[in-house]
Amino acid sequence: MTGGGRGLGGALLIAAIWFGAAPAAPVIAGAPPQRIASLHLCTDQLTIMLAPRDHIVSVSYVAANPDVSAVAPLTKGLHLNHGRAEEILPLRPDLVVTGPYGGADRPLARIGIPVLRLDEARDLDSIRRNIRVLAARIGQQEKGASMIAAFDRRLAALSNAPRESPRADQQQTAPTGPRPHQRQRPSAVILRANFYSWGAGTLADEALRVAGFSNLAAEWGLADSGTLALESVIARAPDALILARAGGHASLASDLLNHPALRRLGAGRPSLTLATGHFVCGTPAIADAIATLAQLRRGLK
Amino acid sequence: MIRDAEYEAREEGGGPPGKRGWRISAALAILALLAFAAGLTVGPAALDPATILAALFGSGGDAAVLIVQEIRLPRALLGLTIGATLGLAGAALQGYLRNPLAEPGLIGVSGMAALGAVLTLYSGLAGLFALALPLGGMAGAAIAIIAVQLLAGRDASALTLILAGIAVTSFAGALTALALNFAPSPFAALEIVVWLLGSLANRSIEHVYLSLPFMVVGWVLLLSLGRPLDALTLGEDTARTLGFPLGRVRTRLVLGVALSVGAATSVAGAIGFVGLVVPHLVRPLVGARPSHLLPASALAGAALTLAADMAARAIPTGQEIKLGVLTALIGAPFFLLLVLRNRGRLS
Repeated sequence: MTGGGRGLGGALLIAAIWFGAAPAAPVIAGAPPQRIASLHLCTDQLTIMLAPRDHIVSVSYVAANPDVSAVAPLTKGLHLNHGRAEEILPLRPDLVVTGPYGGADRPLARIGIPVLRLDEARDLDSIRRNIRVLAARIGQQEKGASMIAAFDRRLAALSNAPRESPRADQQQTAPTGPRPHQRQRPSAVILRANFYSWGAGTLADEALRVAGFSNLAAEWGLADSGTLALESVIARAPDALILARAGGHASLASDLLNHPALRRLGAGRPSLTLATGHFVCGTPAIADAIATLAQLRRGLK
Repeated sequence: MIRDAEYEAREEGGGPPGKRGWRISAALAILALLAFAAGLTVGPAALDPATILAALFGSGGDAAVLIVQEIRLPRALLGLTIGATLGLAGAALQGYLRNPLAEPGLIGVSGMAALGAVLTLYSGLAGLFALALPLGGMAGAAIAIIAVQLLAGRDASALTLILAGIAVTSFAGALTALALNFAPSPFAALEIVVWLLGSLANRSIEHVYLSLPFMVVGWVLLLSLGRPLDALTLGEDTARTLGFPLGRVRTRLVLGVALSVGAATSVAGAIGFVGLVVPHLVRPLVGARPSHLLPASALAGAALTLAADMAARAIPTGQEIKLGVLTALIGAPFFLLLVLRNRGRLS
């Protein structure tokens, strides 16, 4: 799907350049897009981070939601779309950026508007790749490169922080209070609403790994997203407990994170509450989450 | 007018509770307690009975104590109390309305209670004021009873009453779906399933605290209806001449059902069919007299609900099956059977 999407996007791009760009947009051959519309939260954030503001004509309404979007304050004054072709068309975009799923871009592509599909980022490398691809497409290669460099510097600083001590140290010092299990990495579990978690092959999993944790959900064989049984989490006794909340609105799903059993579990071990939004989209903002997780990890010595 | 209960009462004889009646009730009580204990042993974490017993009283490993005290115990308590509520309310409604098809789910009480709870939870009201949740459920339940009686009219046939109940349930379901779609939380729309089918998954001791006081008051009110309902089996006029204040009997029924079923539904969703099936299962054992039937139905309802909840956890599906699915699997065929059996007598 993702490979095909990119191939299709590339083909459409070539077709669009060949047959002429958007109907009423003035096109100067070779100039970067000046009217960019983004249809998906993840591409919204990257577009706002990379493109000059006056080149953005629309982002999705989800980008304005501070519970999930890192760039919510920056969406003030921008047109907010709901991913529908008929909203985008009157804005006469010369580039539409969207994620791997959804169909609003197809009618737009059919009439000749160039569409760029960015893959869903499942690890840090795909974040870098998406930044490069988008930056190249909108003529902001330098900005993209410096964004990646800053991201890499930040990650390097985090991994230079003292990590788990070698086995020899742990045997010499007398144990004082709770300490991580005698294995390579302490275990952590991230619980979202409805006790969902992120397993192997997700941004959250990668973030935990980079921060020095072992993801409990991945250890249990969970791939992608899925529910964990609360009893199993308690029985397994993770070294650190991380709750991911998505806003303050009440629902049965989010109330589960207030379960008394979780409170008691969290009281007895290092724990942390983060916004779910950190792990939903692959942007350099994930470094914030990794920094917080790394700090938690350091506290586990 | 349905004469089912009256007919059976005359068949059984109207004497004082025989030894057999008490023994059956005691057996049902033991069954309910066994189901409660068994419910404590079911769960993804493998815990042996000795560990569970120790953990109940706070000793043993941290994990076991946490699992038993905060996850399994609340769930078993809710299964017990909500099951008792539904069985009792079903028997009381069947006795008062003299309708073998009456039960909180079918006459719209559970559906409206769920709507009341949904409105208080997703608006954030229950977050500010915890009691708002059961109060919402109870208000919804009370409105349902009043609405059904208004719709069905004074001397409604059994069929008309059930039809009125179906109308109220459908309307409540539609409004619940609407409320959930407008709720600010992105998770709300998907939770319609929990509210319409009912579930005890991940319930906590806080849900027990919120619902139990109201359920207990409801039980007291409903159990006090034993003798008046006995008299009512002989007809309204006879009951009145015997000195039973029918107006107050009706108030106690409405309040008892609204409080107990309303509170139960507010923490577990609308669980259907328990109140329908249980009185019919128990009637051959203890006789048709309401004063025997009510407590026995409460105990049997508890046992049945606990068993269904264990099955819900034991059946290996990806996501846990909702309790209401299992009660419907048992109850809906039973409902059809009752309709067939009572075809001539219903209208």
